[in-house]
Amino acid sequence: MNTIREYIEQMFKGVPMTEETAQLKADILANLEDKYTALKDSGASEHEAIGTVIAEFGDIDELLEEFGVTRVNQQVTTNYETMGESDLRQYIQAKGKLGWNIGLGILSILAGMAGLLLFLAFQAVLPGALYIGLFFLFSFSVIGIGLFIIEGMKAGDLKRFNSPYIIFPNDKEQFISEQEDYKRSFIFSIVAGVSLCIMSITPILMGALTTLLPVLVGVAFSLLLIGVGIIFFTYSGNIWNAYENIKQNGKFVEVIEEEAARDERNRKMNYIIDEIYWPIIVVIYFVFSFTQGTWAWSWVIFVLAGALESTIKSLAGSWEKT
Amino acid sequence: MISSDVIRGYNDTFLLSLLAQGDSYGYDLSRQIRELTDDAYIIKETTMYSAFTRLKKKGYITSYPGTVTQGKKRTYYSITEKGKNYLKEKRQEWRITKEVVDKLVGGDNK
Repeated sequence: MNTIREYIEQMFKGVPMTEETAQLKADILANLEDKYTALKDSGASEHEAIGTVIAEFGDIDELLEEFGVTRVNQQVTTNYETMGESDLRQYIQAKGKLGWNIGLGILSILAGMAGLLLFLAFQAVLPGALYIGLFFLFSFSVIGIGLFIIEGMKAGDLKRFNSPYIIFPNDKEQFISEQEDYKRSFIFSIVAGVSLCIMSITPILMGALTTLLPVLVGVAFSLLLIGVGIIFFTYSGNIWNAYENIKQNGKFVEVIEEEAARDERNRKMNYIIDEIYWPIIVVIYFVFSFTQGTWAWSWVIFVLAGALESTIKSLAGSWEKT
Repeated sequence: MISSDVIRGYNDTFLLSLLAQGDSYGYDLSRQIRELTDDAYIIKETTMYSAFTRLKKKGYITSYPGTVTQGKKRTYYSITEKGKNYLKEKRQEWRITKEVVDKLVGGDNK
């Protein structure tokens, strides 16, 4: 029995392990063991049984090819985690939930503020309105902050998706086409969110310009509209990000080392640009403008610096290639 | 024993045909194939799982984790409506193939 297990271990050496490949390995091992037991029961010797089982195993490469998996240097599979379809699906779901709850948290806090404003609006007719309003604000803020804390803790679980990981070609193809399908809902959500935020000005204007409702009530409604709009952004944005992440960080096993190293260099380049280049430009702008009094036109430096930034980046990119 | 080259194109159909009689798992299917053919054809383990992968991708079968038997959790396979239609087509195709090969290569009477 151990010989069979050892044989399967050898066959699956260097195969990236995901839920799917692990299940395949377990299933095949179970089958071989069943076969072995059946042979032994029918009177075969240990040697005969193992010989037959191994002879009837077949060609592992045929199977791996059908599965879309390439066997690699074991170093690579230990250095980088492998994400199967179910891992990635869970990731997208988790990101969606995260976005939803963050959005709800923001809505909750905004609702608390809206509640306070509503009670303040009726302070004249309702004694103690300020306190009720503050209580409102406080309790909704607690719910909102609670949601942030819970999601913040859960975000830690998703960290493993932030560095490059191994993904199978079939899966990547599928998720890219899913993202394509999701694009419509994403755009719809962004439009809906933006519309709600723009519309949120209406209650304020109604309060300020007409006598239909008090200004404070207008502001309260406006906050609620913004809150609902934000949920559209955070929910669909996070799902979209998850797909983008799979596209960016999900790499094929043959090229992952190379691409991960390149990403790392690009990241450093962006870091240099963001952390050094732009602050220097800002300093030059202020020093020059103060000393020369050229405020009227010295802002041009930002336009020039912007153009120069892409030149520097593309130069760095072309060095990279050679 | 039959050479696997000849039969290659029919592995998927074998499995579908067996699954059409009820859900089953890997070892049981390979055992059925061997017993039904009186040991004339033994499907290789990797050939069978390649076929499962292919059939699943095409939506002809689905898989689900079965209950634990003898300490092992097996993956069960089940044929879909689409799979049943495909099987029907393949059966028709086989009837014609059989006739053609019989006529050209020769059947029992030659």
